[in-house]
Amino acid sequence: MKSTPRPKPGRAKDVSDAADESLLTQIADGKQDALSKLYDRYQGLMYGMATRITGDSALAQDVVQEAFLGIWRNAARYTSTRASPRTWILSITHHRAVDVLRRRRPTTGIPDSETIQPSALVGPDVWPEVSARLDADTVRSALAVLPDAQRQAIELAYFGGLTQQEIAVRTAAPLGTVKSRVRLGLLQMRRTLNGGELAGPEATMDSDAETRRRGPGGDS
Amino acid sequence: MSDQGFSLSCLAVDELAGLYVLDALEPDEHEAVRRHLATCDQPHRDFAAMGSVVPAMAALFQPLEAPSELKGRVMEAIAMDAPQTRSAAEPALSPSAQAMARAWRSSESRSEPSTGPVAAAPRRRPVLGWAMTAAAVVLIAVLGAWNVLLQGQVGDADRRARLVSQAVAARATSGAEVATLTGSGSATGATGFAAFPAQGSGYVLVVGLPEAPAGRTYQAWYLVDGQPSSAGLMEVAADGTSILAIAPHAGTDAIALTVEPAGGVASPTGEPVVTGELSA
Repeated sequence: MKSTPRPKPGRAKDVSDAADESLLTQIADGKQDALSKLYDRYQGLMYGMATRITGDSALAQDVVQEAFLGIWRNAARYTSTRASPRTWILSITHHRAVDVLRRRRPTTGIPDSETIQPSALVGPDVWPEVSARLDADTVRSALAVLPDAQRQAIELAYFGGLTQQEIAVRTAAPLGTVKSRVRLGLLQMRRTLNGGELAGPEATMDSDAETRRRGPGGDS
Repeated sequence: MSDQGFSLSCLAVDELAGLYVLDALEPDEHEAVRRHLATCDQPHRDFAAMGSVVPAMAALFQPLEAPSELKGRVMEAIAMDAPQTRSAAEPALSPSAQAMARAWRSSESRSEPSTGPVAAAPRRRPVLGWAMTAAAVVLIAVLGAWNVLLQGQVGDADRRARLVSQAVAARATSGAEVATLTGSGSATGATGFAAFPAQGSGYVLVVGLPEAPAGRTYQAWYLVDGQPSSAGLMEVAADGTSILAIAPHAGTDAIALTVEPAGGVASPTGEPVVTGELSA
């Protein structure tokens, strides 16, 4: 990936990051006992995420298993990301959960499933955190202050595992509207979580600029 | 803008940034964006800006203790995973180590006639014997796919390697119905499996298949009470591997392959050359 986000000087690696990185290095070397330790550290977070998204205990277990297979196979690639181990691991889990959810939908035909990227089997795209680890209350507040429509679109996507099409149907909004709600909501959350600072040119995007850059025919 | 060859423009990709970082795109769209980002020399800063929020949101999931037996399943899946399916660590491996890994891979695949013992293995060894056979089949199939990949036929081979990975993952899911496939007649020596996970697509994977005669093709069939219905055509790659994603089909108790006229037929005209019965 060539996009190069500015490093966050405030993002100090903590002790658990270092321990997890060491485990990932050992896993990359094929050490199963390192994976066993990583399992003990992350199973609760991963199973919690998978259960919430899939709404099904058996599916959630499959998600966790497949995610660990993805970690096992791709640990060597972790070094090339700039995210924390936790972010990397949870990205794999989220992606896997959403994948499992989509595969089991009756509308998913064979042609689709053939082109599905087995996401746990390749490294996920991850970006460095917005700032040092944030507690749930801070993040919940950042979400809570968004306009209802933006918050709903983000929640349906991230926690519900819905696609943009499904969100459009569920919220009776055109696709273009769903896109811009998600976009504006995420950028606003970033500003909030950064302590209200405007961190870069992308954060200054206002709704006029949004309209300009989308231009004609940007909707689909 | 360097997006020639891709269906998405930089502008279109930026519009999808938010949905992309939330995993809310359809799989084909997600893949198109991923490919664009991997090759585009524009910075696409929106992705980092919005992507940086996502790890924070992960804090909102309530941790939940997984059932204790899950760890055993995970560790077993890891132990059975073929080492070749793990990503070669370009940054971590020295060039000489990579060369050694390649040499090892190719020497492993040269010993591919070890499909012989594999095919002969499952004799009255109910559970363990089957598991070992399936693991060996998977290993060989994955090796085959990797080698084609290494030879640079990336487009089709990449797709096949992905399907193989999916088939392997599907077979490993709990509750999957699996058939061990064995060749006979013109396909003697072929072996493989069909796997139907509890959810999602099923797969048929066969290794050691001879090329179909000119003007003919392999066709896969679901057998329900002995009655066949078509599951699709199976192309054989240069290494003798054939992989097909197939829809679940209610009541299927066996999978069979026949050799049919090119383009396939509505009902089989020849004898099955590869067969296997499903068991949960």
